[in-house]
Amino acid sequence: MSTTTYRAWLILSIVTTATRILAMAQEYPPSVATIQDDLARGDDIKLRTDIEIGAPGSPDEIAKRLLARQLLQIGESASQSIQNGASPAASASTSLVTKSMSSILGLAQEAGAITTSTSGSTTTLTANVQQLFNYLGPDRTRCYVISPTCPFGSQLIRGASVSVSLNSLANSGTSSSSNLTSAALSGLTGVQNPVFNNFTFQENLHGRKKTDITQERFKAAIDEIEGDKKAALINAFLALVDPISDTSKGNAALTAKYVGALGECVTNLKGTRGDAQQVAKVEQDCVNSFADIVQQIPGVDGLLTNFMQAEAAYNTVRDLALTKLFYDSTFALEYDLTNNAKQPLLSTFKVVYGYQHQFHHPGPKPGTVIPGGMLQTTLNGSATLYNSLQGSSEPRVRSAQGSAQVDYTPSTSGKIQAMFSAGYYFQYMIANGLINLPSTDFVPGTVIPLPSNASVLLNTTGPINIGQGKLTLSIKGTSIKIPLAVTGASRTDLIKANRVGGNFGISYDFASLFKK
Amino acid sequence: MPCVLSDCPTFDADYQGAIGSKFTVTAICATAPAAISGAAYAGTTLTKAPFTFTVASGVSNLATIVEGAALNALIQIVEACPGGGTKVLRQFDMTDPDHSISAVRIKGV
Repeated sequence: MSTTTYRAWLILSIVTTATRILAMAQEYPPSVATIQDDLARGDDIKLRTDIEIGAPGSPDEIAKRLLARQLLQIGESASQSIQNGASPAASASTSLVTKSMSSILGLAQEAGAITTSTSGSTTTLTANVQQLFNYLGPDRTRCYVISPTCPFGSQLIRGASVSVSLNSLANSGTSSSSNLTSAALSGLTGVQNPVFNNFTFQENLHGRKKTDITQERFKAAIDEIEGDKKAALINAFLALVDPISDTSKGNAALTAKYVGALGECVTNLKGTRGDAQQVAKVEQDCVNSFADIVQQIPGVDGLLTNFMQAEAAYNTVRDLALTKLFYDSTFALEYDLTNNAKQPLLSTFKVVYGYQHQFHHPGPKPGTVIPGGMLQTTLNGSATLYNSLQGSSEPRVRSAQGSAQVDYTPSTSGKIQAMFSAGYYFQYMIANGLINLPSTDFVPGTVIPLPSNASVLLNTTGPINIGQGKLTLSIKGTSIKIPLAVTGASRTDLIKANRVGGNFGISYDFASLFKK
Repeated sequence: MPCVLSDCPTFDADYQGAIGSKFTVTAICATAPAAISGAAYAGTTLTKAPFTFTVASGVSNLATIVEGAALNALIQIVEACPGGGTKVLRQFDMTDPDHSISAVRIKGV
């Protein structure tokens, strides 16, 4: 590839990628037809509110333009170094290209398509496949909860999620005999220690979409969305628009510039007299001039990142609330690859089915209904397999599990809300628990080296039956919950003995004290 | 009783109202359910209805998160006027529910 061709390709690919990343801003700038309609009706206020910063999608469009400018600069720098004699493979140019590509990939995280969470030394990366496709894919792959219909492929994309857990405190060295037993037990009890902890792929599918959603039920679902997610989105949005428009919080010079640019924009749009080409050109000029002003807001890059993350977080909880409203039944398939310390890799295949039903009673007026109790049913089935038998004669299938739970929340008018739950869990341990003991280890308490890479821990095969009945009392309007439960178990994983116990407690979400 | 908010003739704001007067905003859609999810104005953030605010001095943004139950439906953010009518503050087609937040500028006079 010649230097000139490579330079052209580099700039084109970077700008194209940047454009695709944020190409989903749909309402802003508004369509030419919308502006033509505003002009035809002489509706100055609607024309102004359609084009101004603050219209739906405007921050995303501004972010797209600022990003394109940044990546264009990187591309220009890279191409300049090539033009000055460096080959495309030279470190100067490749580092710049790498920088641009890492910016593109990093944007997925900044935009909320990839989220990370850390607990102790464990970091979990979760990719929202729908969000990734929204940012990187073509328009036709987009599918929303409120979409009337979605192609099957889009439904698969919408329902898919992938997460990987990694542990920064790797314990890859040779274990001493003193911690071997604790490592084995921690492996059996789920305490994980290695570098790679867990990989999960989940596919969520829904039953038939309901079409009889009333205004009251829709509003109730929206009210269920966590208030802190709403407030975070509002605050992140205002942090972007206030500096150029709010006289009490804004920068007077920037506000004056924006008011001037908006006035000029509206005047120019009126000057087009509705000519489509002219309207399109003026709209682009308007948005570019607004982007110039937004670019002058101190710390605008961080503000845009915060906004896009808050928007993604809100959209996630909003979609959960709407999914619950629009779909009675859900169906999920899950695959887990788990790396417990000192155990072979375990693969778990899981199927989950959920069904919820809201009871309704006739209302006081003819033709009206009032919501009654809520019934939630969940069925679960899974099988766990050893990925490697490490030379043992144990079966490949370690265990199979099945569970069912029913929750019923009656409708009450008082301050106390009750929820009745009944659950049953069955597990059959087909194989004994395997612990991976490297041949470099010693038999616990001795200096006798182990001859092989595997060992059977205990005679743990057989069925496990667990049943539970629970009553949860909560005080409406507070985060106080009082669960009362009776549980019976035929045995635990390691001990073959019956166990019956009762539990009660009180829980309070102290974080709610700090919420508005 | 007329609406609290009226069109602002100058470009520094979109609407204006008498300082200290209270106004309530809501979302309406003729073809499907719609609702305001959260709103903020002049330092007050509300996450449940009613979304009632007091007109403050200066120019402040009224930010609203609006949700609709049908794709492509025409959504209107309106002032629910004391006399029973409505005044449209912003309207748009719900073509992308993932961009549900917007703002209009309100000036206290």
